[in-house]
Amino acid sequence: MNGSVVTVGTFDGVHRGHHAVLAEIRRRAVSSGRRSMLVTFEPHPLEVVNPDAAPALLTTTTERLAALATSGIDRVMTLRFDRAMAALDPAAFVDQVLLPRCDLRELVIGHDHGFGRGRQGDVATLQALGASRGFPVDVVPPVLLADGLPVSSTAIRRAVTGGDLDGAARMLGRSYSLEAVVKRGEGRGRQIGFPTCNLAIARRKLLPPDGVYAVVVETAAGRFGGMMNQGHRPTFDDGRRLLEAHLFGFEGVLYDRSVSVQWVAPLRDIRRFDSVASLRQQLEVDSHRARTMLAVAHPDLEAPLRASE
Amino acid sequence: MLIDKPVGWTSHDVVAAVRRQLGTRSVGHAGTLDPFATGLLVVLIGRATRLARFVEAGEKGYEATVRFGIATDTDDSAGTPTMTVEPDAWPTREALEQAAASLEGVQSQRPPAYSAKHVGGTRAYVLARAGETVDLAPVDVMVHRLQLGEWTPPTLMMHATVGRGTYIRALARDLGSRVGLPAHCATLRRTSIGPFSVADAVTPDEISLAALRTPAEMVAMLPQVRLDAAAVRDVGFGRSVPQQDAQEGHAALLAEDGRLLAVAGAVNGRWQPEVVLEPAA
Repeated sequence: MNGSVVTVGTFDGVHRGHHAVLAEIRRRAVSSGRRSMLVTFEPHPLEVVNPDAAPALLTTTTERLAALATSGIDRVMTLRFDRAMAALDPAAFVDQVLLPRCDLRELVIGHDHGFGRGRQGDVATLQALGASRGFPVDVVPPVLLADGLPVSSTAIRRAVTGGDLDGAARMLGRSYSLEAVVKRGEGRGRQIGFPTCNLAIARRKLLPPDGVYAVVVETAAGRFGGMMNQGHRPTFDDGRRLLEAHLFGFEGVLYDRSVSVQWVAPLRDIRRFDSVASLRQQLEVDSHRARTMLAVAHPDLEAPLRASE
Repeated sequence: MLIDKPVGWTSHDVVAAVRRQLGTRSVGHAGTLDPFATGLLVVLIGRATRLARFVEAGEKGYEATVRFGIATDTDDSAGTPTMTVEPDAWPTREALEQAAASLEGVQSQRPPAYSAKHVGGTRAYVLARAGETVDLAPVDVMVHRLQLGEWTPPTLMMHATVGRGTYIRALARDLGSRVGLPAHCATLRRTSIGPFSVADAVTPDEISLAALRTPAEMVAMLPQVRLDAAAVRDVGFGRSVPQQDAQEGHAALLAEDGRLLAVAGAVNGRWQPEVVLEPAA
């Protein structure tokens, strides 16, 4: 290979703006016979630099790498972000990391990019650096929504936090989702006719507001519509915060298997029920509404309207 | 889904907004609202589009303002004035109450020239726009209630509850002719259809999956019949099932868990499915 077309960034969310940058380096790499390469960090730089200001993440490292795996990039390099890395100024980052380790020939960055100590490496600094070391630096403009606002990880975090799942999906280019491992629960859902998968979530994963949601769950056994309770479980009063998903038409166990859950639409707030009977009655209503939503949003799912017997 | 249509939108604009927002092609509505009117439009999606006729059969509630003294070619404020009268004295409230009372019950109503009624195979408004004189045959309609609100001449507020096919524009025009004045419907807002109220509707920018109602909710006005597993299978194949006790009219056939399987009509003491939402595989 004849050197790399490189982009650098945290790429949290792997949203439509990120995809525009990735498409640009892929295009350049193909036309110049070079390799397309993404340099990213783990953990999120703010967690090292200023942990109190570090945002909850749209994508865990696993989720981010999974989303990037389908982007057609030749190579993704994940650098450990530590205090030593944080101390590098833009010139040092270019000279000590990008040139020797990536064989950098062209640098392409997103419009809001800043790198190096204190995010000093803005577009002008980088272009000056590139001129002195002989590589071009180009900027990919933001992807704009219908209302003219740019797609950004910050805007998506705000949408998810505010429960605007449609807005988040428009900016992501896909539904907001979660990858999680199924844990063994206490079987209480099964007792009232709504068996659930209990999901272990990453500490830093950003969640929409607590509530009951219609979801799509991808498992090793196929894709299923379902509904998910997110929050603590007031009826059982044990104080823990949990994600529990009930899958329509699924029979079997998924313990210790990884599943991917897409939030489709909110069904209702979490509330306390006086009796298991009234909880069960509410779950029936929820399941009808969820099936109705899924029949519209995901008509490809098998028989989302039918009840699991 | 229940939507509060803004003024200036056609009913089809609302359907298009739902299509766009939900990314689904199969969308229809029950009971057209004219662009100048606002209020409740029931939008049906997917298989539920076939429930339209049961929704449309419901009583409709409207709030309207009638402008006396001016007639228009469309009988609403979107049309061109055809006659203006400035009377020495406006009718008294008593006279209006009397006129309103005479318009209650089964009425023979002449539809507005600009209406979607067919005349010899062509929509009346198409002929009217082409400048032809449109003579529509009167139609029997049902006006359940016509209550008057504030009367500040020349404008009267009224609340009407009517059956299928009744034009509020024509009601405004006829109220005028009962008191000897030209009149047209200046504003119109549909507040209810059957059990559905505009208070529960969403605006077009609130259209989302979360605003969807279940098919069973959309036929909440029909008596509900729960079926056992054997009957569920029969209904899936479109076969009739026995009635528990003799009933007339239509009923919503539900599965044990409450989901809507079909709407059926009473035929010879059995429920004959007319619209099946979950055909058997």
